[in-house]
Amino acid sequence: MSIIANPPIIAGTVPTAATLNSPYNLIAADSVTDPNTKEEWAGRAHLNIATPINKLFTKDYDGTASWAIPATTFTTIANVSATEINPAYTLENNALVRVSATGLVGAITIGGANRDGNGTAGQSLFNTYAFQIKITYNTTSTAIIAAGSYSLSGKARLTFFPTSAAVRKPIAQRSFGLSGCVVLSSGDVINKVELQAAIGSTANAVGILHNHLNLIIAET
Amino acid sequence: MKKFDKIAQRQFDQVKEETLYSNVKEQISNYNGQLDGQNLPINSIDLDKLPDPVFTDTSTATTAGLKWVGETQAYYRVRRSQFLDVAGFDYNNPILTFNLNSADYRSGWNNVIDLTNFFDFYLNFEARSGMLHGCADLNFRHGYDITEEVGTGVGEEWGFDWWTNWGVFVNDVLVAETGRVYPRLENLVLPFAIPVGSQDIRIELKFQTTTSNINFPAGTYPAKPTSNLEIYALQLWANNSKK
Repeated sequence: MSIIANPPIIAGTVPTAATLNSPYNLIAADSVTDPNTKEEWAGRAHLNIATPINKLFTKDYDGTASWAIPATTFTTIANVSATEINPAYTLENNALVRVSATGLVGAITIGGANRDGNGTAGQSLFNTYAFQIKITYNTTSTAIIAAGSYSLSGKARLTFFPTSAAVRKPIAQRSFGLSGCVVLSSGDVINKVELQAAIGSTANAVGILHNHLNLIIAET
Repeated sequence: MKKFDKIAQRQFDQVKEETLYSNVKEQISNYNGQLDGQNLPINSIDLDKLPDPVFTDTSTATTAGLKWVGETQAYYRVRRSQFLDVAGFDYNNPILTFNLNSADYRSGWNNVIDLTNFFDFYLNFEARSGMLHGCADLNFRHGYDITEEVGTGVGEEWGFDWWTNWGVFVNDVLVAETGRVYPRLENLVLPFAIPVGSQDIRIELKFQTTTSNINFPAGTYPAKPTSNLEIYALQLWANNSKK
């Protein structure tokens, strides 16, 4: 809205209806814009805390049960119940969806000599376990937002000595973490966010202890 | 600011021109630059009252990027990860193998943008006054090697003292570092936070690394440990919370 003019009314002259109505008509016909407002006119009290701009959803497992990674394909972690968030949230804008996860790996067992790989590329997967955060939206669409991999032992991927077949010492009691973000469209419905894990060889064992999953939806 | 009639009108009084003019002037002065918090109910600004964010895909041939600018905050991300960005790619294959015996690098900080196909790996944007916080996600391996213990035919681990250290730099200032990470495949989340003004920002990822093959005895197998620094995925994202 531009500045509203106020036509002068002169003594002894009968003002016309158009003159008297002019300011009101101008106000009615326009919308408030920056020139109409004072600087720093809005305060915290004007922001509606009942409908925050950022939404936070969390899932925590703080118990002591260990969950063994069961397969070479990604499976949702479930110490007692699944580490997943089911927000059933409909996005109002093209929202930025941010996820993060942390946790503690407990005991690791390397299932025998060279079960962390014999140094060839074909067995490099053996010395690996990995995590990913998977989002399901609009019921059937999925995306992997974050991922990260870890080794059971400290040895390099491609290293070997022909007669060396000792069982390497595993790196147990270590933390893991991953984060990521993606933009989804207005109207998309976020159904589920899951923390998943996979292991490169089921001859080995990796136990997952406490773990935490966060989902933050930023809408403007 | 709320303004009302300046001069009250009374029944049967004659209307003076100043009364008409002044009263209208008082009313419309609200709209002439005086609207403020008293004209707006508290708790009235919510998501629907703010403009929608603007999303831009900033991906390049080698990186997956995004720029998302909202009214209260903005997000920026750059990522290079074949696991996330190439369908069907497995999680044990590095996207870059950096041989520390033969590649060029410094003992000080090395910028990731100098690595092959990482030349677009940085964030550059115009920040608004407020806070900048974010994370570097670092999926890498600098493992030890298996070699022959001299003359015994027995394998031994070589390179337990090798390490890699990563740092996040905002406009060339180190704001976070991992500390030395010893041999393993690791996925680290390195958070950072720093207050910023309304200014150009460039966020870069740098690393230090070391190897120790100089004393490696000759004639063993293999001729020298490879001491590879392998990168599986790197990601930088930052959130600019506006004041």
